[in-house]
Amino acid sequence: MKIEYCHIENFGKLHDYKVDFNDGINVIKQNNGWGKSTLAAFIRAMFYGLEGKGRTGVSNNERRKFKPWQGGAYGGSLKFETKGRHYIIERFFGSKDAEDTFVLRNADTNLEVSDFSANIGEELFHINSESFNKTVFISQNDCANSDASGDINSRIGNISDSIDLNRFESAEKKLKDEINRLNTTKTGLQGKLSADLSIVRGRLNQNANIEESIDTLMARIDSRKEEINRIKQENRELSLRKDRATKAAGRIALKTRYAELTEDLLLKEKAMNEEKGYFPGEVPGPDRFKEWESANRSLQSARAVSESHMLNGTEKAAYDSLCSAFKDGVPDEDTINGYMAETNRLYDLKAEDAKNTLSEEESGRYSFLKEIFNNDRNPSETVKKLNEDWSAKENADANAVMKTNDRDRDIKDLNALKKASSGRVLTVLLIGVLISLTGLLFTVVPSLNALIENVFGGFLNIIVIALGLMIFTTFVFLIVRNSKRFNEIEGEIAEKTDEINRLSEEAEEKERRVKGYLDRHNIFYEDDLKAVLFTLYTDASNYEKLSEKAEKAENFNHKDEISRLEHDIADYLKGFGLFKDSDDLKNMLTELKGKRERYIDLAKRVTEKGNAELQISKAKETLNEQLNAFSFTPMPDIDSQLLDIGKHIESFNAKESLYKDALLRKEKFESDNDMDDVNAIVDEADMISADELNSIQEDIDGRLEEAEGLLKIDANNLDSYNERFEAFLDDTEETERLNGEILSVKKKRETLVKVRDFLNTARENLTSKYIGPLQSGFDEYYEVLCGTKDEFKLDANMKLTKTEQGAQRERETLSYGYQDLCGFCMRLSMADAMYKGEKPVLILDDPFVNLDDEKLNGAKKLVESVAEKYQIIYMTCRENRI
Amino acid sequence: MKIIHCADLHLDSKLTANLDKEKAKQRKQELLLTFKRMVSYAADNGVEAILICGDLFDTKVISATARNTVLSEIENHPDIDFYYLKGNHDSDNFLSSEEDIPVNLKLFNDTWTEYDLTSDGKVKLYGIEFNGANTASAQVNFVPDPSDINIVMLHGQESEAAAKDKAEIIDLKAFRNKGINYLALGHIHEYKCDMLDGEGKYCYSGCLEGRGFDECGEHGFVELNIDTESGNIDDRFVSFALRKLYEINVDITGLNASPDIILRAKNVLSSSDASDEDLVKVVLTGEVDVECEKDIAFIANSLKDDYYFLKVYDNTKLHVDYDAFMLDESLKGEFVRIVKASELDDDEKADIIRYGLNVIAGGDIDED
Repeated sequence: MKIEYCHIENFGKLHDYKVDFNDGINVIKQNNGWGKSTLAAFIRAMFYGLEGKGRTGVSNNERRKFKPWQGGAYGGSLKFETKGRHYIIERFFGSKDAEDTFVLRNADTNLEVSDFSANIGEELFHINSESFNKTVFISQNDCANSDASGDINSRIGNISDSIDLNRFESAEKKLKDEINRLNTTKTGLQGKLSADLSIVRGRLNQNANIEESIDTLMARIDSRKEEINRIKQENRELSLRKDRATKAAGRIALKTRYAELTEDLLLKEKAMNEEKGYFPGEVPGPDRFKEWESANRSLQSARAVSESHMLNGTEKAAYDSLCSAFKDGVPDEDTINGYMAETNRLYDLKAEDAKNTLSEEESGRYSFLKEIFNNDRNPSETVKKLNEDWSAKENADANAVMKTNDRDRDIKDLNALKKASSGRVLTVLLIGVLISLTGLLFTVVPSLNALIENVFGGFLNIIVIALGLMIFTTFVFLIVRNSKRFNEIEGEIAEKTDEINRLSEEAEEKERRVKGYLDRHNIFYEDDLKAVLFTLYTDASNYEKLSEKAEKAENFNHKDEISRLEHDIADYLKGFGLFKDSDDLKNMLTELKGKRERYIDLAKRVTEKGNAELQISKAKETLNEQLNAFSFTPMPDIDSQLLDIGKHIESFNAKESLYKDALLRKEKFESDNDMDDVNAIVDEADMISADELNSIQEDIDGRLEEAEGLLKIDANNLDSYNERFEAFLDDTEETERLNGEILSVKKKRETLVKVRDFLNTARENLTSKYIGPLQSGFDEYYEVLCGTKDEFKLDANMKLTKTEQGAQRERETLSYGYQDLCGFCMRLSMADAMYKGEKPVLILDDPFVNLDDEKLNGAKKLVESVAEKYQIIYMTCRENRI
Repeated sequence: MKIIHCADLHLDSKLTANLDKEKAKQRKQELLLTFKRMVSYAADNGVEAILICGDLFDTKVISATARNTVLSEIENHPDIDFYYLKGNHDSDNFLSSEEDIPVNLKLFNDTWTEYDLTSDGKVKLYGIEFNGANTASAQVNFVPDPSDINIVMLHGQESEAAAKDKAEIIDLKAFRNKGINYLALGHIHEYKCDMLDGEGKYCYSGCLEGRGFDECGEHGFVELNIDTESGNIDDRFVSFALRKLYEINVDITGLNASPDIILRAKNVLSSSDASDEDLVKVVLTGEVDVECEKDIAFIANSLKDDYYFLKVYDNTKLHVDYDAFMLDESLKGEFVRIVKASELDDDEKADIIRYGLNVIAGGDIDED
């Protein structure tokens, strides 16, 4: 097989790159970063497609790694020859597998052919991509790796089914994992189960005797139950004894009770009979005694009435006196009240007469005033007019003084006015004259006239004259007006003088009239005439009142009526011997009234006392008859006697009642009880005390409680033992289960170990068939490289080991250079073994970077040697590696 | 009069051998509920006595629920007398904490105990609890009055069968021709009834409920109808279990994949009597190729929803066609050849080959 041509449209950093390949070695020497590895990857991708599907890293995912930076589809074409036929692969890649395109053309016809599918790599080389990378595709980073995959082995060994060899490793891993999972270590299933079994066995040992313990405990429980039953039996027997003791105690109690009732009855009977001895005859019944008590109460009540109405000495004397006074009859109350009314009228009349009579003082005063006013009927009116005259006189005097002052002021003002007016008139006159003279002078004197004319014009002199005339006219006016004013004031003064004279005359007339009256009635006065007139007015009023009273006393009185009344009342009182003095009639009538009431009261008491005495007599007679009937001798103090009898009756009745009660109780006891049983003899054996019984009961209760407590403890223990026994059974079952499971696991593990061993043996048997040729191939290539042979041994697992000092060393322990050398030689050997006929192309991506110069020379020789059998595409960046 | 003869209720059984914890707990309760149902049946049908011929409980340890339920049922049915004869699984634990035994609970001990089932004394019930020491002599010395209607309760293994679980041997010959009308037995969990002699019968009622797949089939109790005048006893088995257990073989010879096996199993199951309330054990039988893909867990999961409980047991044989690998130049062929050449027995070889071919084919190793 040979690759003839390659055109990279787009792939990584390579763009529109074309290259032709020849037989033998095709060296592509380019600097680092040119894209040598990209070219190698492109060639592989043309056959196998892109690697690293699903990987996230760019370096491992070729679809992402070689996608052109500018985007778009990428890929190219590759022309190759196999078995004499030429093909062109056109493969382009998208962003995912589905977008990839693959076309295979016949290079001679350029027509699409289907001699190979898109899986052309595997179809052409009979190995998968992974195995391709481990054999004919040798990169600088993976040169040492020459582990044989399943299909490499199959290919080498010409094995019919390569799939199972491929799965050997995963199968071995599964077996190994499962064997480990089932092993006896701590983390292994057998180990875990054994640990569990150990724990369960430990528990089993702890409970090994539990069944015997339960049997023992149940036997003890039975024993305790028997003990409890015995105690309960004792308890039942004690209950019977208690019943018998209770019955015996009851019988004794009944006997005692019956004896007590009998004795009590005798005592009550004796007491009753003793009380009965008090009574001389029959014992009065309660009704009868009540009658006695009622009669006695009536007697005592009558006695009380008699005593309360009895008159003492004073009252008796008074009663007798009153009987004597009223021997002719008891005065009627209405009559007394009628005379009382007459007496009141008498007093009213006397008071009225006394009211209208002048007193001594009033008579004296009346006599004095009567002389002053000299029978004047209305002196107060007269004095009143005098007062008015005196007031008028004082008013006239005051007005005259005021008018005089007014007139004197007028006179004074007139004189002052006259003096002022004469001065102002003379001044005006003088000014007027001077101006008139000036005017004349200007007119008369030419020089002055001319001057005036030059200065003021020709009319100044005329103006001055006119002004002089006007002032003079004013003077005349003032003279006339002042004269008129002086005349008016002088007239007023004359009028005021007349008025003053009239007022003086009026005052003198009034004064003369007042003083004349006072002088006529010999009334002294000085300067206080006004006060005298006032006092005189008061006296005049009093005189008029006293005069009127005196007139009434003289003309109106009740002397006749008063005399008649005094006589009638006195006569009435005299009838009862009570009249003393006419001035005390009312008191005497009151006394009569009191005596009348006193007499009536006393008379009533005398009557009621008499009635009570009659009742006393009758009650005594009745009581005596009653007491005699019961053989009692009535005592003087019947009240005390009845009280004593009553006490004894009460005492007897009480004692009789007690006796009857006692009798009833005895009879009831006899009816309630079987007297034969009561009277029967009590067995002494049954006469056990309650204390003794209680003591026995306490003992039984204590023992029963203790036994039941122990039983309860045992029952609880039994529950606990039962739980342990149940756990024991569970553990027994669990032990069996675990033992079974352990055996099962153990058996399975042993089986799996055998499976693994047989499987390894089978694989070794298979690979051993082609180990010899591989070893020979490897030795030949290694000798070309290193000049020595037989240093490395290949085992049935395709593992190389180096023989050093008699021992086998793993290839991984060697230097990188040796590892690369071994890997390179191994790959060539495997390629030789895999491809007996048509050889594939060897793609070398600078695989010798780790070799020293000596080994590098060997490598060059080796490549040249191999190039005789294989087309080689060798990419490197160094000249010395060519 | 009517009597129920039951035995081997094994209340409080753990039942964890086949069932998971949740279902075991449920099933344990069902055993107790079935006992209650039986008592209700007795009350509804005028049954006067229930004979419990041993193994009422499964172990010495009796749960409070089981003890209280049984006692409550007895106390709440005073018209029914419960005759309880302890079996090899029973202990005194049942009544150990009870001071007062219900009056209608009649017990037995290691000597012959006699009860009158009728007031006229015509129907006699005898029973004895064997303990090894008394077994032989008690059987020989037992002499009932043949003129009575005699019913005998015992717990043990009949002599014709092998003894197990410390059970006592009941020598049927010792009870023949003694005037026993009905020998009520307990211990064997399957119903069995046969003639004891010319007159009487012996009968194992079997257990009330099947607990494991060694107790498949019908289970219940025996109802006796006694004509006290003629002395005739009419017995009939009453199927009473809440659920039944089935062990069903499915031959998968020639099948090579789980779906095919599931299909085959479904066909077989559908033609069986098992219902969705039952417990089923599917046993795969036949010979399958060593490369047969057979995921037992997946097969069980595919079938289990149709039943209360289902498990699958693989009892198939592997067939290895060694000739097919003789010329196979592959790892697989080499592997089979060297295994075949080994000195292992055929089953182990088949097992190794099954594992080996499975991993070579890329399969995972079952974590069973």
